[in-house]
Amino acid sequence: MTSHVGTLPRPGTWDKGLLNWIATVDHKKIGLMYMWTAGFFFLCGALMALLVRMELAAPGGQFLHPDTYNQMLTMHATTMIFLFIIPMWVGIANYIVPLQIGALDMAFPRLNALSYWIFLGGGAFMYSSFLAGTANGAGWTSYPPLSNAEFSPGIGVDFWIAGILITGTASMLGAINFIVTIWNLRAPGMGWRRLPMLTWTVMVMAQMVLFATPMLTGGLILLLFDRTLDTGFFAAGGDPVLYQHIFWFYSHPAVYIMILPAFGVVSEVLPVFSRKPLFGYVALVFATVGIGVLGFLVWAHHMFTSGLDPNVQMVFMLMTMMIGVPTGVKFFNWIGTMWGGSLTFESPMKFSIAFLMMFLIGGLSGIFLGNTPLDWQLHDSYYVVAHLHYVLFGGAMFGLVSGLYFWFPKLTGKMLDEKLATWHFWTMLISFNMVFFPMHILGLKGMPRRIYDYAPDRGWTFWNQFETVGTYLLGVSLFIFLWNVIVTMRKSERDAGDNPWEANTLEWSTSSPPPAHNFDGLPYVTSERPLWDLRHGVAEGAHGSADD
Amino acid sequence: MQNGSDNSSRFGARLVSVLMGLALLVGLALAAWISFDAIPDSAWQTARQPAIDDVASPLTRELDDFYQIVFYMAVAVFVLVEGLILYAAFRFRRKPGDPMPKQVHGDNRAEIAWTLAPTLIVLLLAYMGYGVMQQRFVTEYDQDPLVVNATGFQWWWEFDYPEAGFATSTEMVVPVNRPVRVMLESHDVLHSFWVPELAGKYDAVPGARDGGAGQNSISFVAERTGRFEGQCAELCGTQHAGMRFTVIVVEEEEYQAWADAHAEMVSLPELPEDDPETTPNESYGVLDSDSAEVRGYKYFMARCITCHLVDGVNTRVAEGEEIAPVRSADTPGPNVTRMAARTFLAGGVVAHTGVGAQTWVREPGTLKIGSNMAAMGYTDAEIDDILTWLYSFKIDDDVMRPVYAAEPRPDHLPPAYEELAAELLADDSVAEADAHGEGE
Repeated sequence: MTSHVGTLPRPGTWDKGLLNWIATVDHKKIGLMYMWTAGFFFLCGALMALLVRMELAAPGGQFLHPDTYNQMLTMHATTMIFLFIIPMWVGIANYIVPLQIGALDMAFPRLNALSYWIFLGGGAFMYSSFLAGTANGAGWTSYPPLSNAEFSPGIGVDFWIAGILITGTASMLGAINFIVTIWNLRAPGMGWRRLPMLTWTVMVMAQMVLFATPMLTGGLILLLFDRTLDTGFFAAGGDPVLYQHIFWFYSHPAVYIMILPAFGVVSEVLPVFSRKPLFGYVALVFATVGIGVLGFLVWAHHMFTSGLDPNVQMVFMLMTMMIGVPTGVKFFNWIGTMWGGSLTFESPMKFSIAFLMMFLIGGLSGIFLGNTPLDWQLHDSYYVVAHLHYVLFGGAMFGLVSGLYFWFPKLTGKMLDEKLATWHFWTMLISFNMVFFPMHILGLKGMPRRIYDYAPDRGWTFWNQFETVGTYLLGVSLFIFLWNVIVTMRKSERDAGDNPWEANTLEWSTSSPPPAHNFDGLPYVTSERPLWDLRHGVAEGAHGSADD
Repeated sequence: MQNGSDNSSRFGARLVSVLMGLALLVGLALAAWISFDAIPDSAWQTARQPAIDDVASPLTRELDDFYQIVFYMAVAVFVLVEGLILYAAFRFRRKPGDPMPKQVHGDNRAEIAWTLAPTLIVLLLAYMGYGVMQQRFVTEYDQDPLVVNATGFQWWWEFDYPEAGFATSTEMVVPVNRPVRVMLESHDVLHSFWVPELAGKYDAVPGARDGGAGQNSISFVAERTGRFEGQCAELCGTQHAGMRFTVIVVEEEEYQAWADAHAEMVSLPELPEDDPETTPNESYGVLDSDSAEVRGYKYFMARCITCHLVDGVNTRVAEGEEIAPVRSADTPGPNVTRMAARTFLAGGVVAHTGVGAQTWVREPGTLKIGSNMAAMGYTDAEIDDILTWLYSFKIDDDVMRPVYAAEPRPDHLPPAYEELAAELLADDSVAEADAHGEGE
């Protein structure tokens, strides 16, 4: 069932001028604002990571006060998760999803603008605690009692809680908007089995956001009560472990919230650059939904050392392992997509393949960590830091960069420089592994995470130095990318054309960048590759119908 | 998924190798598992490098063996999948004049196979994991254990030996080849007790103690003697990095001698008959008496007693009012009765040398930024007196030194700290300022 009931943007919203950005309800402009804002927060988070790595470059205190170090690691994680990866995906989805489904805008354009401004306010509010002299230093997990007023005095944790509550509200509003949009505004003929994969993953992600975020909101409000009203939910007399349950009930699904759109991007990119349809579309959809459901049943694997009942630990170990199944299905389907294709290696393809290779490592280290007895040894060590970065950097970030290269011509009408992109690719791939692979070794050698200092006789010094050098190289690769973006944006010529990659989804049928009203006309959607069908005729093996 | 029958059968044929690979993988895993049980421990141990450095207990050995098995399976999956990706990337690279590839939408048989294969593998891994998991809860590591209460503080560990009746901190001495059960408590925030070579880690949850609900414990049997470094693994505030400890494993007889000596070692100084036992703060500064020990005692009672405990002393405090004996775990600072025996101070951050101890008492916040130990404004001479008193209840060197020096750890005080300490000691103006500054 599809219909077009979206509000048309007012004429002239695509004009230049600050007011037109502030007042816009155009999903494309809002998407761009999300992306620029998230990009800014990424630079902040990267700077904090740099400081952390510099502090760890040698044993002994270097230049950061331990409290400052704790604030850096807390705000690095918080920034990257809540202010970069999630809003960056929201930005890309905001721009691309309505175009992919042939809609004129999001279902609730004003709500969409409201989401963005609430998000911006939340991020700014959280960062304002730096100006007040102290940020949260209790870790992005902020376990009580450490995050209680007694052990974390000052306004840092309060601002952090409020910031997350505010950005969480923006997330929930955005999630509702995505669900309603995808449900109602699909182009004629676009049944559920003809939905582009990015849109599918955004759909599942939005439902996860909607289901998980209230839990975190509730938990953080209780924590705020503990801090400001002297209640005792998680303090002595209450239950500190209860907070961990509440926190991870949100924060484990949050991992999939961050990684699912990357799955979507890769599922878009691989078929285009292999010139084949997605292998096992239906299986991939089921795997996506399966991950979305299983993602809610594994949270306690973050708590294997908290003292849960052994039987509970066993159940959560089993559920955690089971996540490997839909993930494995996805991998084989992606390889199946490449198999027998006619592959070219433009930058989006390079990063998508790197995504496959790096995310696999993150998935495999997850098998170790998800196994309860091994987690007793590896939990809270650098092994975890390695794992989460292979998932979120090797996975979400490589997928994100692939998506940025893929849709940049659509967003701007201009092609990024391929030579610089190749430099960016190799420096990022190599330095990423330099920074994060040795962390597995450090974890096995017993180095706990979140320490600002270590003794020189523990054998941790060399790899820490190696990682810090890798961090500098990672910084160089980032600047290559930024340089590429800046140089390309300053080009006057719009050289991309409507569909530079010969891609197959509807966003490529309109101009680059798209007009305010998105489309002058839409084809009837006959498969998940409507533009392919236009070029080659409706494929023999196409599946799905307009109604299912 | 409907497929052109042509395409799918060709495709299916190509995928036979994939399926074979997966089947092989499951077979390998099974074989590894069976051989893991079949090969005697020693053969398995000599056959490979431990992933966990220097495992020293049956539990960590078990974990390490299991790690290796999962590792080999992970390597097999890694090689298979990365190999397929790279193979596909090179083999199916577009060449000039290539026709449009066959449009294959899927292959049901292949997809069923690669859903089942990972399912089998992860179920197998979970089953094996459950087997290893039970090791922690079986009683063989927990028969007739030596019980030690380990209490996490910001940022050091206290080790209380309830049977022998004494407490010490930062260095935990246990006998070899005897089960040890560490009961975990926390005085403030969450901490996590981790000695990588001896046991996994478990959290010390505040509010859970004395065997009550939610209290965690960790049991291990040390297989060989030596010093094993441990560290708090749960972010616990400013000096999370400086919350270190050492488990010192010695022979049973050595342990007994050490425990006996520790249980008996307090010998309080004899105070002069006419000594006013009242108002230590007043007596501080007007004291003109006696031995260094007595002066040190009074200095200690004036300020240090606020946080620290010396067994048998705290009941003699001020103004004739006796303070009931307290558990060491309830006082904010370490029980310093047996400080003389220890090789490290300040949660394992400061080496217990003469300079180290003096600088630590004088400038705790310099050696360990953010430490809850406050500078009390004592002069070097006064600190010397306090240390002299604390050292006066030592300790049979013949018993103590062999225990701690069994495998001496290189002095891990960072060079910068050593220089700083020397500088501070040389700088009289700082000492003057301190002498007149008020303690906080």
